[in-house]
Order: sequence, then C-alpha cells, then structure tokens
Amino acid sequence: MTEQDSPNRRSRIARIALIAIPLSFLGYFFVYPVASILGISLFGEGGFSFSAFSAIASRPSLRAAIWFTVWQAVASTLLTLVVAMPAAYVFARFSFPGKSFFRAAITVPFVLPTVVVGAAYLALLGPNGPLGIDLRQTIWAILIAHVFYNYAVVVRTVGGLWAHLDPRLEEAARMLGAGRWRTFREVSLPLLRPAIAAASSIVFLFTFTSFGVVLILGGFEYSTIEVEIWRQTTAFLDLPVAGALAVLQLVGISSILVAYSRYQERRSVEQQLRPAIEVARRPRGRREFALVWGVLGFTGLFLGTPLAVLVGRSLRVGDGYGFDAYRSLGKATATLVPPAEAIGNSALFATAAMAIALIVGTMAATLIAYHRTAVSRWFDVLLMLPLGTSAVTIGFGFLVALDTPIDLRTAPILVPIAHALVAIPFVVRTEVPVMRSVRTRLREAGAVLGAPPGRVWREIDLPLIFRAMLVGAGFAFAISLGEFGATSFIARPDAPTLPVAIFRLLGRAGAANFTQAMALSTILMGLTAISILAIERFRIGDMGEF
Amino acid sequence: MSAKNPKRSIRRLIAIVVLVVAAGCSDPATTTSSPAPTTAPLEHVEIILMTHDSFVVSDELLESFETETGIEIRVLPAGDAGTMVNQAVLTKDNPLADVIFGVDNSFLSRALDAGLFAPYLSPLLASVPDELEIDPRVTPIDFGDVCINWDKAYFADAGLTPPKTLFDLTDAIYRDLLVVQSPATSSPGLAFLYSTIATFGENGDYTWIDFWTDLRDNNVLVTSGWEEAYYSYFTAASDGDRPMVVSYASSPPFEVIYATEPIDEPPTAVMTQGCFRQIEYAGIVAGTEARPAAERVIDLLLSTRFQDGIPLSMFVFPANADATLPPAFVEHAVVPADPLSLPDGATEANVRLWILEWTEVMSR
Amino acid sequence: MLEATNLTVRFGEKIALDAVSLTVTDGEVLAVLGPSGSGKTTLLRVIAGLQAPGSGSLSWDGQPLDQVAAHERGFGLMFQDYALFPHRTVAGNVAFGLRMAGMAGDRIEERVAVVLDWVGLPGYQDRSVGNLSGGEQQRVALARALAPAPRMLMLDEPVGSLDRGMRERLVGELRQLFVEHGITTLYVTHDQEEAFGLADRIVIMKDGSVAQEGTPEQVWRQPVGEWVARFLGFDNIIDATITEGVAQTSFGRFGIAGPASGSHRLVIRPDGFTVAAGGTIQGTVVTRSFRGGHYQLAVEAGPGVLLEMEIDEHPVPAVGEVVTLSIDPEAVVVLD
Repeated sequence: MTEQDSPNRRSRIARIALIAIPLSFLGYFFVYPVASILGISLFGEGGFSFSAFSAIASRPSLRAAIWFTVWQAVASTLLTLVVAMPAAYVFARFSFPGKSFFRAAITVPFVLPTVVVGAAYLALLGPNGPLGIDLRQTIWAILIAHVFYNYAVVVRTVGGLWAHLDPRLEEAARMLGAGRWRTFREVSLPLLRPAIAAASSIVFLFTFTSFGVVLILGGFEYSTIEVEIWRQTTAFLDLPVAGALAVLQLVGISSILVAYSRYQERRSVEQQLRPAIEVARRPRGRREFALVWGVLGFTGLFLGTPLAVLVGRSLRVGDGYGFDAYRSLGKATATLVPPAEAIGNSALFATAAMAIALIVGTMAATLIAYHRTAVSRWFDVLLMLPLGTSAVTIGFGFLVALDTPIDLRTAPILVPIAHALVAIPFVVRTEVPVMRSVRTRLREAGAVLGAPPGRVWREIDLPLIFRAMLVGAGFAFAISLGEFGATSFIARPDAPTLPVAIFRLLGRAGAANFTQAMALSTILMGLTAISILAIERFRIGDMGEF
Repeated sequence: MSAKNPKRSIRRLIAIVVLVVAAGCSDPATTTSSPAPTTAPLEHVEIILMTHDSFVVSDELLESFETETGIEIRVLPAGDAGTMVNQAVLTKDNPLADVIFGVDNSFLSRALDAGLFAPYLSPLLASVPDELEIDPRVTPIDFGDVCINWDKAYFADAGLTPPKTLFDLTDAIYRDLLVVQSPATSSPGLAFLYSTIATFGENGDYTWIDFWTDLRDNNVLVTSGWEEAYYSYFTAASDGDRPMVVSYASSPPFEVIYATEPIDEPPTAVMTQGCFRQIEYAGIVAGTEARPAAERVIDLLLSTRFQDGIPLSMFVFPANADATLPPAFVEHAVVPADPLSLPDGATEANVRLWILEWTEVMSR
Repeated sequence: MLEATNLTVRFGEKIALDAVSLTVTDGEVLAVLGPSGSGKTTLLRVIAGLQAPGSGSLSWDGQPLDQVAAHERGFGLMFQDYALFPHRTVAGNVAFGLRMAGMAGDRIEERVAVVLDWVGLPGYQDRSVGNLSGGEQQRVALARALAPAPRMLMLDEPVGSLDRGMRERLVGELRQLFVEHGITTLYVTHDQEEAFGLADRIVIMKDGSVAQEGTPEQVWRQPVGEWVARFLGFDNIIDATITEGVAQTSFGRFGIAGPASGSHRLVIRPDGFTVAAGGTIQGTVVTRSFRGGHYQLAVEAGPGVLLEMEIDEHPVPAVGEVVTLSIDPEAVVVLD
C-alpha cells in the first residue's frame, strides 16, 4: 500500500507541506499552549511535585468524579451506538421522501448549547413530562441527553460508510444461507468496524469531557473531570489540582485514542465502495416500510420533542402565544446589542472555523490515510486530543502561551481557531475511512496517465472523498455555530455569538428574556439545519452521488 | 455544473481564512497607539477594558466618551468573574488590559494578593457609600443582593405565609418548596452559602451545617446553575414545582420590565432577611502605560451617565448614590436593610473547606 | 526503445525481481509470460514507475528513467482490474490522460471518439462505467490507456477475467490494433496461447527472473528447460541416452535432430506423433478427447510412461486400442 517512492522533488515538497502545515498548526495552537499552562500549573515555584496528584488521590469527591467520568462515557457510547444504529442503516440503505432534510435535521441537536437543551430536557423529564416519571438529576437524564447529542455522529459516520458498502456482499451472505441478523453480524458489522470505531471514539471523547449536560441535568451530585477542572480553576483558583486533573484527562483520552488507532491500523480493509445512489433504494414490502417509518418516527420523536419544546417556549406570550420574541430580536435595547447581530457574528466565525478545519483537517487526513507510518499514527492521536482537553485548559493555555512573537491572545482569529481545533477531528474522521477506501490502483492509473501527485489527489481522491469533505465541513460549521465552552475561556472581542447571546439572556430574570433566548435557540437550530442542508446539496455534475 | 466548482469554492475558503488571519494578526488590541499629531485637540488613546461576560455598555456611551476625551474603550469579555480574575492573574506579567471591571468580593483578595491593581481614588468616590469601599486599589462600581425569591401567586393560592428568615425555611410547611444552587458551581449559590454561614456561624449550638442538614431534610433541591433553578424549577418563571428560589433582590423588577405582556406588579417577591451582598469592583491594571486615560475610564464607570444604565443592563444597583434608578426599580426593587457579609479574606481562605463540608452534608 | 538492466526488487525476504534485463524495441509487441507470482506484475510496475527497484536501471532511447516519476514517463498502463474511475463517465475516463497532457477541450472530444471507435465502443461517451459489462469495461480501460498515445503501452493480464470466446476475439483485435497503429507494447499474461497469438517476442519469467526469451516460434520449438517446457504445456518429458542421432528410452528408440549425445532429458512436443505402421513406439490409448481441429490422446507406452499427443489424421484410434507411433525428430527437444 505504499505510495510510489518517486524521487520527484515537487511531490517531496508537497509531502513535507502536508506534514508541516497541520503539525505546526496543532503544535502552535494546541500542544504549546496546553504544555505551557500545565507547566505553570504543575511546576510551581518549588519545581515539579506530585502533591497535586496525591491531593486528587486523597479526595473522595475527585476520585468519584474520575470514576464517574469513565463509566458514564462508556455507557453513553454503547447506548448511543445501539440506539442510533437502526437509523444509520435506514439512512444508508433506503431512499425516502425528505431524506436530505431529515439527515440535516438530525445534526441540529449536536450543536445546540447545553444550557438550552438542558432547559428542554428538564421540562420533558420532569414529573409532568411525557414519560411521567421524574428523571431529573438522575444518571438517566445524563445518558439520554448524551444519546440525543451524539445520535447524529453515529448515524452520519456509520451510515456514511454503510451507504457505500456493496449490498451484493450482503446478498451473497443471504444466498449462502445466513439470516438477516447473521448477515449483519458476520458481513456488514465487520465491514463497518472502521466507521463504528471512528464514531465510538468521537462519542466517547465527547461524553468523557461532558460538562453542561452533567451540570444541568445531573444536578450537583454528578461531576466529571471536566467539571472538576473548571471548578478547581474558577471557584478555588487551584491551578495545580486543575492541572493535575487535566493531565489525568489527557492520559485517559490518549490511551483510548492510541488503542483506537492501533485497532484502525490493523483493521482497515480496502473496499470497493459503490455510489450511495446505487446502494439506497425505496423500501419494498410491509416489513421494510415498517422498519423505515418506525425508525424515522422514533428519530423524529426522540430528537424532535426537545426541539419542539424550545420552539414552543419561544412563542409564549403571557398565557398565550405569539411572535413577539422574534420581533424584538432586531431591536437594540438600552441593555444589549441587538441579538440579531449575534447571528452575523456566529456565521462569520463559523465560516472561518470551517475553512481552517477543512484545510488543516484534509491535509491531516491525507497524511494519515496515505502515509501509514508510526508518525502519522501518533499524529492521528494528537489531532483528536483537543476534543478531550478541557476548554479551560485550552483557553488558559492560549493566554499564557500566545503572547510572542505576535500577541495573539486577544486576536479575533483565536475564536475560530479554538473552534477549528474541536472541528478538525470530525473532518479527519469522516475523510480518512473514505480516503483509505479509495483504491490505490485508481491513483496509480491516474499517475500513469500523466497526472502528478497533486493532480492525482485533485482529480481522483478529491471527487471520491468530496462527499466526506462536505459532511466534515457541515460538522465543522455546525460545531462552530454552537460552540460555547472554549469560547467562554478566551478573552475575545466584544462580538457575541449566538450561544453567548443566548447565555446572556438566560442569565437574567424576566419572561421576555427567556422567550428571546428560546427564540435565538430556535434560530440557531434553523441556521444549523439550513447550512448543513445547503452544504449537502452542493454537488458536482461530473462526479455523481458519491 | 463543471468540475471547476469545488476549486472555486476552495479558493474562496482560503481567501476567507487569509483575510481572517490577516485581520487577526493586524489586530491592534494590545498596542496602545502612539500620540496623535500635536495639532489634534485630543490625544487618541486606546484603553482595553477587561470584563466578565455579563458586562454590557451601550455603543452610544462609548462613542460620546471617545469624542469628548479621545479615549477609545475596547471591551474584552473574558468569561465569568472567576475565569476573568484567573486570566488577569495568569497574564500579570504581560497584561491584556488597562482596566479590569467585575471583580466581586469573593475573588477580590485573590486579585489584590496577585498585585493586579494600582491604587486610584476617583473624585467620584465621594458619592459612594462608605460600606462599599474596601481598598484604595479598587473602585466599587455596583452591588447586588442575593436573596430568596418567592412566587406570590403560589403562596396566595396555597394560603401559605412566605418565610421571613433563613431559619423559617427549615419549617416543615416549606417542605419541597425551595430550589437553591450548588455553591461549587454557581455564583449566587456560593453567595447563599455565605449568607447561611454569616447567619448561623461556624460554632455554637446551631451552626450553618445544622441549618443545611435541616434544609436537606426538608427536601431542598440543588441545581448546578441559576438558569435551571430559575427557568426550570421556579414556579413563577417555568413549569416547575418550586415556588422559592435563590436569586437576586433585583429579579422582581426585571420580571416587570421584561414581561412578555405588560404587567403592573411583579409575580415574585423577595425575602429581605438573609441576603448576601456582592459588590463588583473595577481597578487600574498595575503597570499600564496609559495611566491617565485609565483613570478617566474608572471615572466614567463611576459617573452617573454609566451608573444610570447599570440596573437595566446588569440587574444590580449602582454604587454611585447620585445615579437615577429606573422607575421599575424604584417601585419594585428591594434593597435589604442589613445585608450579610463576611470578613475580608475569610471567603477565599475558607471557601474550599466550606464547599467540601457543604457537599458532605448534602450528599449524605 | 526501452532498456531494463538488472532490475531487482525485494519485498522483505522475498525477491520479487531478480536482476531482470530486457528490451522492448519500437513498434514491437513483447509478451511477458509467466505463472502467477513470477514477478510479471512487479516488473510492469517498476517500468511504469509505480514501484521503485531496489537496484538496476531503466532507460528509454538511452535516457535514464530512474529519476522520472510515473506520471512523466509517458507510458500507458492497463490494469488487470481495469481501475476505471467510478466517478467519471466513459468519456471522462478516456479523456483523463488527454487532459493531463493539456490537450484542448474540442480536440479531446475528437480523440475520445476516435479511440472509442478503435476499441469498438462508438457512442459510449456518456455511459456510466458502473453499468458496463466486463468486456466493455475492458475496452474502456484499453481506450483510456491508448488515448494519450503513450510511447509504450503496458497491459497487465488485460483479458484475464473475460470468458474464453471473448478472450480469443479480443486477443485478435488487440494484435491488429497494436500492429495497425505501430504501438510499442509490453503485454503481461500467464496464458501462453495469448502470448503466442499476440507477441513479436516473448519473455518467460520464473521466480522473478527471466527463464527464456525469444520469438514465439523459438520458444515453442526450443524451450530451454524442463520448467519452461512444462509451463508451455509440454508434459512428455523423458530420460534418454543419445547416440548418433538416436535416442534410447525405456519404451523404445527414435531419431532426433541435432548433435547432442549422452544422457539427456527430452521433450517430445505433442504435435510430433504420427500413428503409423512403421513406428518404433507401441502403446495403449488411455484417453481420447476431441479438441476441435484435432484429437488429444494419452498413450501408455510403458509402465508409468504416459505420452500426450495431438492427432489430426484419420482414423483416430479408440480408447484401449494398441497403436504404433512414430516421432518427428524435429519435435524432439533436448533439454540442457
């Protein structure tokens, strides 16, 4: 599988750039800041000591937080996989009216600020909710919300590969006497493993570092490492303990990532992918119709109900309903900049973050997919680390590290860069499996037909991975739209984004503030859905649906 | 469509990134601009004002201030109050800002110990009540009281008398009725813990720990943040089932000002006993190169033109006694007669232990 | 003219190519023939520039190719599995190399039409490659490789996956195409009939090195060793003692051509037998099968000696019949 060892100079330069650009981006905007802040935290005046670590070991509340972090992340990941798998299948294998809309819509929850979703869930999971039981401040509330948030990750990552698996393989298994379940277990599942592992690693990282969901839905009794880092820093001003916790968090995340990466190296199979349009078909027969509409119905209810609660609340006026909250969004009051301005700010930041994530992420993915060396494997792990690093650590790292040579600490670009750090793993995760599935033979065919390496990438890889790039771009844009955690720890220009504006409104008493916050949340939802829809609609006539 | 499209869009993306990067690099945020030519009547100076995320100021005020003084204020939000103080301490050797606003009494000793601020006594301090002034290095700008709020309609319907004191809350008739915030994760939650400590003390027959034990046995509900306590559990503001919540003394007027339909009376009321006072300070960053301009900015923050807007923008009370309160505040806001406080430095020295003890009581 | 000198490639312990040298002259069709695993495909990949040789050198018309990247070599390569770009139409595939060469759009269109005509797919431009039959895909792959008029065309088992009838027809067409357009061709196959039918010259490869080289007729007439002989399908390999043009074997004596003498192994080509009354060999027919133009017989000439032969004159003896055979001295090859 090695790339041709052509001594061509230009390709060597291209390869060096391919390594150098993403590596220096990550080095300068992640490794260096995080190392700086951890250094300051752990190497106090007296040099390095283990006292912060022994402090953690001696505090039951911190030990409990570490244990809780691990087990709820495992439970959330498994639960998300199980719950979202049927939808991944239905989206991959069947075509039905409104499919692209549905696919965009399921991504909406992923970007909503937890403070907003939390409000909806507290209403739904209360004694007066549809379930009729009070799940507030229980582990179930946390798990359900984690599934809600990460549903799209599984559907899109696993479904993305599933949509291209040759159905004839399954047909072959059926002909050999395997039942539906055996076929799934012995043919589809093994072939889907790379995507399942990729989705799991992302869901695990997200839930491992869960913050808002745990705080809002879990009440005061549940706490993750992420929550503790924030508490130790901002409430107790205890940098050493926060630093030690951040180190533990990084170690935990890294070990999972290294295991994942080893697995992926061993497992990846070169597959002959087929255009999704040839794979998907209309459901046939009563069973298939029941399956498709059952899964869609569940997805709609599960993801739609909390969103509907938000929309409903944005329309409340006194005891009745109306659009007052929306009408007032454009008005600058004496107290706030017009919330509508936040929409523009968000769109600008999200575009920049998407561009950075797409460029750096695609270069990184190319490196990882085609140059299988130990270096690229470590690079893969490194790329994922920002997802598992607490927002406090990154934000404070920027502050202590980025003052020389150019003082970037308060530069507006830091916000999209922080968003891109979170988004790059999504771009890489969606692109690498598809890139790896592009057969080496096709690239060689391009080369002998006279295409230099760069052109081969552009003419052969790019069209084949273009859909994966669009999906990655959609994720990046959406992540940036809804990002709040990292943003709130960066000293930034006074240009509130949508989540910041929502958060500000929710921080005030007054029913109008609340309905306005819900109205902005509804707009954030719509904006996300529209942008993802638009990105997915963007196709090139020449390449077909791939 | 031709295959050129992705190319074009990629170029466009690159262009955007380059523009944004360029904008970022050329950002003059931290450089104080050189003096304008001597012919200009006013020296143009840029002052960076670091604040917490809840700070709000109108563009009109900033613009007219710049016209009058030549001082351009750039606002730099830096997270919640705790985050902001930490950011300021971490960047002490190469400060991000010239003036910092929003350090409250919980975090003040940390900021002062780190030597963040240089002393300045604004002439406007004459109009500020003495009890707000703590240290010459910082200037009080506003204050707010964290108090129990209760739902008037609920108590009327239930025929229940609202509690008068903190101790009343342990009465069985108020069982299942109160929602508070965890002091470990919420600023009003911490203030409420302080008020219980200030009320019941650490020693004696009935300490603050005994009080919280009783409160727990009376089924108090604890949330992580103010938002969910108020907007998800408090009966007056949500579909929740808790008619009492730890909030601010200024919450009732906000319910009137920000009602979805005009109302005359707030649906909520404040228990004026057992309130804890939070005071927010501003200070000039030690070592700033624009000291005279920084002083003008502190004066601005303390002037009535800024102070008049404080109630509606940040829902706290102006420190300047000459400031005009909006009618809704005059009518519906309560300023507790004798708010609680703790001795200087006591909060920071003990906060970790207190939260630990509180957590132990509540997790039992 | 392509010259390869001492090309060597190792994959870990395994030697894939062991000091292989060969030349392909302009306009020539050279077939590289060998069983799977003999290094044919590796040789092709090294020449194409897709695989760097461990040692050895390559040149074209005296100019070294070693520092020239695959895309700059100007060779065409048709892959065994065709490797058609699934995201492009037939025309998109065929036009690819032309676009890489910077040809203008309208000329590309013309050329695509011409080349599709050559391969018998006129009007296929807008078809999706996913919907083509195996034979059509093969033709598109060929058209794609031919379109940029490569200075040498390389084909890796191009008809391997097609059915027999299609294969034979295509081999004929390919030969015609190469000759008609004077295309210098390097053709890799494991099928000797294909190689014999197509090539001006054949290189037989075994375990990464060249076992024999020559025109099809030379190779056919004089395989250089037992392995080549067996690979070409000559199973009549026997020990003999030769004295003055006569071979003495366990089952009889017969004359041979050439000056050899002493103990040797011999190959008797299957076309060298005649059923004749005056023959020197006797045996019993064990199997008989009709092969179109001729009959294939297996005759047991002695204990453990089974001779394979092609008989085309009548009457053909039946199974169980005892026959007397004579052997054409020209059909006997003395090995080593």
